Amino acid sequence: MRFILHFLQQNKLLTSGIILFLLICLISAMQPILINALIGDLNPMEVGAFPIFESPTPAHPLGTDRYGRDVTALLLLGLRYSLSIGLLAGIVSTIIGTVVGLITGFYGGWIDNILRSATDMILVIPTLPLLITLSTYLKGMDVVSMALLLAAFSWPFSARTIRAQVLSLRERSYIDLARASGMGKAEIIFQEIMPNLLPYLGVSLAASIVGAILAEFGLEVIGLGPGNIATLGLMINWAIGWGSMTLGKWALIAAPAGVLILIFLSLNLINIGLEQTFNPRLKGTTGL
Amino acid sequence: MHRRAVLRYVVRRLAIYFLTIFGSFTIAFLFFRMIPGNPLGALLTSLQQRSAYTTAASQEMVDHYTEQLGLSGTIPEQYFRYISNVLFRFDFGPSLVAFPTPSQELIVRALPWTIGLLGLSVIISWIFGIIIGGLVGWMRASPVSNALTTFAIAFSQIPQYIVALILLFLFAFTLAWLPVRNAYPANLTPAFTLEFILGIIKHGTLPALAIVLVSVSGWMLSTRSLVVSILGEDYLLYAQAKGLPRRNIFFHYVLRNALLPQLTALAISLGFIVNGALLVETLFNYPGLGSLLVTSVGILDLNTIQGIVLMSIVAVLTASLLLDLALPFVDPRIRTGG
Amino acid sequence: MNKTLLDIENLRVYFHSVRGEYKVVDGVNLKVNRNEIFGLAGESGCGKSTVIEAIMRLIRPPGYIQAGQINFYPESVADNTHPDGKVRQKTGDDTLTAEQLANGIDLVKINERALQQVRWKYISYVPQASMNSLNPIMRIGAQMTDTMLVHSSYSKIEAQQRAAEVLEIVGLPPRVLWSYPHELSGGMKQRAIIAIAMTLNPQLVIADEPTTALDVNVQRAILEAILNIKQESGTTVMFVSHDLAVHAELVDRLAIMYAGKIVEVDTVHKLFKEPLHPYSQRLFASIPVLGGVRTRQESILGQAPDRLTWPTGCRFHPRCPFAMDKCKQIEPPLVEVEPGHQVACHLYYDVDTRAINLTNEKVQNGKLS
Repeated sequence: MRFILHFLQQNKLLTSGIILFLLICLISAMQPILINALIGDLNPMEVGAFPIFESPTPAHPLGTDRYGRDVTALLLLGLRYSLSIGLLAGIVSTIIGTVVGLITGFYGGWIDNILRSATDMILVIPTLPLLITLSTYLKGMDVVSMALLLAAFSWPFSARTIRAQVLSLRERSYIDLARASGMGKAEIIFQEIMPNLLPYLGVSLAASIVGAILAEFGLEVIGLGPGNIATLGLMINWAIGWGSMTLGKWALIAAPAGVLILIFLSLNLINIGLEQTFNPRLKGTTGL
Repeated sequence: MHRRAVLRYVVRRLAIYFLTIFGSFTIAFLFFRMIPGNPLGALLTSLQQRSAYTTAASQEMVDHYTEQLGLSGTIPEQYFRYISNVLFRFDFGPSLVAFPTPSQELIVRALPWTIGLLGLSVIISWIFGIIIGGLVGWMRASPVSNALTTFAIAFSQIPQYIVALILLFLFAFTLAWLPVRNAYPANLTPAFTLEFILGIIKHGTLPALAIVLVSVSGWMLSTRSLVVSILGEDYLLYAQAKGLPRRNIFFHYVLRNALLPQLTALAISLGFIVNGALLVETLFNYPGLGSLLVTSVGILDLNTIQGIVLMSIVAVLTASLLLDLALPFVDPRIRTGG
Repeated sequence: MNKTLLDIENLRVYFHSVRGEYKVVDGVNLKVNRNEIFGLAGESGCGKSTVIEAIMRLIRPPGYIQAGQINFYPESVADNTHPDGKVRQKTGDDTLTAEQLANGIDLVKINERALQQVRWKYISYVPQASMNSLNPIMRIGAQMTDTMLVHSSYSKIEAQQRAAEVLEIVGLPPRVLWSYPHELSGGMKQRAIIAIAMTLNPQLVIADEPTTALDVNVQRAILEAILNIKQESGTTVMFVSHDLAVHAELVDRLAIMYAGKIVEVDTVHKLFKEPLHPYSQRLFASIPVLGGVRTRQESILGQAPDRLTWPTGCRFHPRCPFAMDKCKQIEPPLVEVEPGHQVACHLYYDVDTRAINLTNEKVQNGKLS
């Protein structure tokens, strides 16, 4: 425990990223309570609950929108949606990517050839067109199916990164030693390779979450998402549709955009921090 | 390397190229055919509206259009028909967006806009990113360099779309310097005149700026980290020991070694421009592939969507093929298979 | 003319870390004479490479030169010109004047420009990690001539001719000029690096473990290349290696380094025959003698000390079989106990009385056979 604390002290980027991300998750987890505190028992999506286009007041910290809904409450709704999709899609795609990456990297041979070709094929399919088409016609998609859909197209990225790492780990002498001492393949994978892979899994996970949130945002912002929940992207889409820019109601765009940027910032800080810590080539050489 | 080995490599690489195109497109094709929507419905509705034709479509008519759109028969049948049409006649089938104009015509019309906007933006960002990133990495201890890096880290987090929104808000709405949408002034017809070209530049500035701002940060950061890792290499210490001037070391040892991996990355991101074009093009109503795609998706114009997807796949794979074939000429380590 | 070419005084190179300062080189005193091959030996981690890097001013953060002088007394450039006029030195835009050079310069103090002027033209370097010291995407020829074009008045063609010439001295064919580093074997790369060090006929060549990690045949060739160069141009060579056998073959004088300090200096013959410092004795005893009596290898007792907290007094005392109370408290100075022979040990020099005692009984009795 003390080691972890010391480690975090040494890595400011990583630490601030983790803290920021945990904070965002906490807010998202407390979403029902926060919404209740803001607007009571009302459904945040309910049209005409408050006066329209109100400027920020203590009661409505970010004002209200065209339909008289509290922007802060909508934002909390959208945050939770985006975060859930991102986390779920990120975890699923990292798991698939890790399994494929480990198998292809460690076993090599024909399994590697086949799986790698498949990975390459999926990698070059432009994801957004497929996602747009699918989400337009598969109406009423929920968080889980949306996340799975996103994961289905993003795992090859993780698989490629993990494979490259496994390939380089496999060449290390301690793996040879493990092999020579009669360790089984599964044992080598879980005891020798996995622990060294962890930072890369972290990087891959953070990147997948960002990718998934960004893709979902892309769908919503051009108005082609499932469209039954106020997501961050949809809120921007609405705001543009209402002409908020000409009306000067910039908060309607800035608020969801800001939340999105915060999520990305936290995840990318984690990413950069992990890379800085575990990629010795990026650290200054000590000369010792 | 022996000539035969080169030939074998090229043949192998080409085989992989065609196989991957084929495989990728097959996956995408099957995906689209599993979508439950009915493309014919939209077409018939629009035809009815156009001709004020109110009676229900006859079976004959439905069959006719099904046939014409390439939707008759089982999915494998559709697939093979589509493939052979594309391969032997470069015929992507009629579009729905502008029925009965062939899809390939729409795509070819949209392509220059996307290539012009995205391609140029990507190349401009690459050049600037390499130069700035190289200098920032080289002088990584200076406060200016640190400030720039922090700024770039922050900037690279913001999705292009949001940067585009901010730019729109600033330059188009608040300051009203630049136009909000379209690729050229509506009152002009496309022609090779100075006025028209200036119009294109004016309209292209904001979307291009949105792309450039974000991707310059990305290129800058990746170049910086490459440079920083090169600075730790033994050959750099040695170059320093040789008493070479700093400028010489920077250009011949640092930048030159950082350039190779960045060249690879450039080719790949040039291949991915169709994917990247979508959001920004939609926001600015730019008549490129991205906008065409969004319109096609709206009415499930399968032929056009598939065409665009195919174009994109071919673009990405061609970029990486050209790169693999060209890299041996740039990187001596690959040339001799060392 | 001054006999000394390089005079290191009280050199301290520290490495900063969160746990404290690593005193990797901690008060080194050395004199390298003109036209000799000077060896520096010691176990790994004793700081010998760091001394070299300090001379080249290549210490990178978190390392820094904490104190000390590295005085360099080069002959003036005109004297250095090769009799056949082949080596041409550039004199135009130099920042160091002939006068300054004649009086000697402190390599620790000179500025970046002066440093650039000194590097390669006066002092060249054969790095330890020579496998990775060549830029992988530049031809060997270009990497040889770039420094020549900067530091001399050679034209491009002349520079190439000279490059081919030095390649020949180290036994490489001229076609190597057009090769990329990965096309060469480890030994060829090492020889190319030595050739690069020779291009401008510097007055001092510093070689850091140039033979380590090479097989014996290649080692042989490298050593011959260095001797060739020595004969060809009379360059002074400073040679660092942990391998005493290599020193025995190559160097004139040898310094033994232990825990960031020099413990003994003498001619290589003298040292091999009669090492005085207990550490040197152990070190030489550990060389297997061909055809000699079969003896059990005596290891130096205990672990090498931690560079963060050196032992007090004599740094060797925890491992020394003759350690006295004095050794734990007072650091023995490096004194000349007989002409040309310096040693830092309380056994031979009494700090209080300043008396030299070369025939210490304890050592005589405890000496390893």
